[in-house]
Amino acid sequence: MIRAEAISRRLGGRDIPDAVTTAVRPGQVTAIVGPNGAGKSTLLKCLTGALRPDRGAVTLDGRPLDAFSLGALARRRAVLSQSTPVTFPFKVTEIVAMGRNPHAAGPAKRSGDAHAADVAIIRRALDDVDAWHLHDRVFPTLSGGERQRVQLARVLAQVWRQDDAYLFLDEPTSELDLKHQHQVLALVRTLALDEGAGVCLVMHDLNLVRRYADRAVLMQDGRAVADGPVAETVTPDNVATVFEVSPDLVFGDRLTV
Amino acid sequence: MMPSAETSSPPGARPRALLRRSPLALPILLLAAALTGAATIGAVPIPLDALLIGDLTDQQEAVLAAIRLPRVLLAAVVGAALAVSGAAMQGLFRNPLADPGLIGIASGAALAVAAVIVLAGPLSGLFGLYGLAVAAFAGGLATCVLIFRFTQLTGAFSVTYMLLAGIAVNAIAGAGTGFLTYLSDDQQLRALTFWTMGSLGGALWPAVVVVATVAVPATVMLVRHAGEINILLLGEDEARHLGVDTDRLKRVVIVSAALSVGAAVAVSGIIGFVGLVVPHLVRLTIGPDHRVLIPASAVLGAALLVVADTCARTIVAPAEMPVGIVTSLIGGPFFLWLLLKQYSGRFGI
Repeated sequence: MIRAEAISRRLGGRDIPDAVTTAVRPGQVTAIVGPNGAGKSTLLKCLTGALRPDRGAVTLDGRPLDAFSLGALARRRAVLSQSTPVTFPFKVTEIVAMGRNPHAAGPAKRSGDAHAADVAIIRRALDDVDAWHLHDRVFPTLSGGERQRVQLARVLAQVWRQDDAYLFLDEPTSELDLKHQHQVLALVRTLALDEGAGVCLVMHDLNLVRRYADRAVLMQDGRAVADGPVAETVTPDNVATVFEVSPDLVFGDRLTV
Repeated sequence: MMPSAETSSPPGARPRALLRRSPLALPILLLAAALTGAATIGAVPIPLDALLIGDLTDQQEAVLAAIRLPRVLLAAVVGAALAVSGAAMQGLFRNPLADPGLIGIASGAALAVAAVIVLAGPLSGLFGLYGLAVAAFAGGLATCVLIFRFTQLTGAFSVTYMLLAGIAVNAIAGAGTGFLTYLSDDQQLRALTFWTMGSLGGALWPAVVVVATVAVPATVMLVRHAGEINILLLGEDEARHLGVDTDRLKRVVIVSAALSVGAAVAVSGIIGFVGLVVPHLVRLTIGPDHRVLIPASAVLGAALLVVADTCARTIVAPAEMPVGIVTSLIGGPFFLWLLLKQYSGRFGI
């Protein structure tokens, strides 16, 4: 389990996150939701170790994240950031192969040589996100949604069939069409249920959250105002107070203005 | 090479497939041709057939050993050093337009040389040559350490801060060099101008040895980290998430590149655009993988500067043109063309 204990981080005169205690549990999909600027991505970065909280601590299986080497951490948890611009003309397979870097052993680690087994993983990861047909394309020439799926394949390849793995995805569906949104979220849900991966998503679409997440952390002004099973946290009352919209937009089935 | 995962090459893709299997073959052939050609051309012509079978007159032998060979080999090692540090800097900044001149290494070296020329009084003979070399080297390295410290002081080792610090250092060093130029007398002015245009004239064996002993280990170091430089291109956070110690990697890249540039600038002055043009040509023809890009840039950079220097010393013979003018004449238009291409979105920026 990855736990955050009362973590705070000073950002522009405010604490974001502000004394947040939460956890990402194995075998479950946890969604971080909230309005713009509530601190969702910052909380995610603290949970992955990309940012160090000023106060409080983040632990993995009871040990502080700092106690793990970068390599050991990289073999267990993969992170998909919001946007990853790559300006050099790498091929799609080369990008996904980078996900296998933490598993390359010995002298091959520096040279980044992927084993033959990795080739199979790269193919299956691309297949899983419906992007194998892009494998020979040059990455910067892909569309936004295609790039997002290829980067997701890289992240999947990083923790492929890894025990006790964690996946952190910051708005993984932001550029995807409807079909791929559901495909990707169904995929990560399967990873959580069947392989016991701990999945943590930052999401805006509460309908998708209600459909695919087990738990939700509602963020508002840097604080976690609700944290628990989706049915108890993404409620009409909370939607009205946190998002300042009519709950009908999430729970209703008719267009309400 | 990365696994290309059972790609079936379409018909007509044979040259590309060959390039992919042995990507260094073509650059090495070019370098061999450039070296051989450059050795034959000059004030004392040395015919190719005589060179190959070793049937040379005493005069030809003397010219070859004392003048021609050090000159050609110096061009090769300087070209390799500049191209490799260009490739490394572009990887570090994740920007195909980055150049060692960008973070102020070259201008720092130029300032140190200007200070020696103008303030240290008339230096002559060997002491003059080595004095300038040491000054350039120290100036480049000092600039590098300064920028490095500055970016560390600002907290996170951010590429943006380093770029901005580089711009500021370039301006300061430029002002210093300008002030010294203003102070200089006619003879000093001539020396300064000649040096900033870059030249391989006066090449001696020690210069070849100095550059090679710095540039070769630096290149080996960069090639060893090439896989990690590839991953750094995904972004700093991403690289850390993939287990790359980015702070250490950036230190290795900066120090290696600074040493190479410093050594090259020390013996040849400022020769522009080699570090920009060569890695680009390699990326366009072979690909962006730094495990191939760095060695290929070294070989192609060597070939390019050997050719440029041969032009510089033959076009206006018996006089000699600074080689920096030749490389800038090729590199300037190339840079503009790159900007246009980038503007039209070819590089996805």
